[in-house]
Amino acid sequence: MSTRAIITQGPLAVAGVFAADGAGAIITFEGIVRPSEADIPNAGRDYETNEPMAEAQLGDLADEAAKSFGLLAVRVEHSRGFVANFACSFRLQIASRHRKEALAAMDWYIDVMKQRVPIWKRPVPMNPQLTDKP
Amino acid sequence: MILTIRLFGPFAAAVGERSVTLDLPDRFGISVSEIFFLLGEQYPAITDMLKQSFMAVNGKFANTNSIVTVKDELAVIGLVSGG
Repeated sequence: MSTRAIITQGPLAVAGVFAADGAGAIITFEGIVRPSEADIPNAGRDYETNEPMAEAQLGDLADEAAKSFGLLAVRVEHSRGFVANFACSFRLQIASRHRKEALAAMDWYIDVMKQRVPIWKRPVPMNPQLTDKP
Repeated sequence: MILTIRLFGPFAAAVGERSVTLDLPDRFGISVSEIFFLLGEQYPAITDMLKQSFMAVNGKFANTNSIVTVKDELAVIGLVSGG
């Protein structure tokens, strides 16, 4: 079993090779910045993180998921700072022997992350001078 | 003793600061629940938000009865929204 959690500045680069010995299922979820929020167009999202706690929490959740669901490998990446529309700000990759545990773990991880990991996002307006708040 | 507490996201926006301080009488420490109460008194705008929040002490979530001192790194964690 291997797990890894990384927070990087700006949008995430294209995913690299992700594999695990004995895996029969490898799934990847990518969170993409929406171009609007509540029908209000935006330029992107700004992600604020409490580090190093946020990265440690992402890693702890990866370990918990691996143990609870019997996974072979988990890799999670999250952005900090500005990420433009349509770019990737979150990626979760899971390898397991069979698909069911990987799919269940994927759903569990994202739900729990949104409750426990100290990361905050806010939409960045198209014209910050008109609508942004300090 | 003066405690410094870091704020993020909606807390920072509501208070208008990235951190706040509490000036307290000198003693060994103070509980997390007491800190939340004092923060709510000092910053009424965040009183309701504090009810759904946690305190991070040295990068780990703490119980409300945990005792902290000036040596601890404190941060209010509430209403996270990553992903």
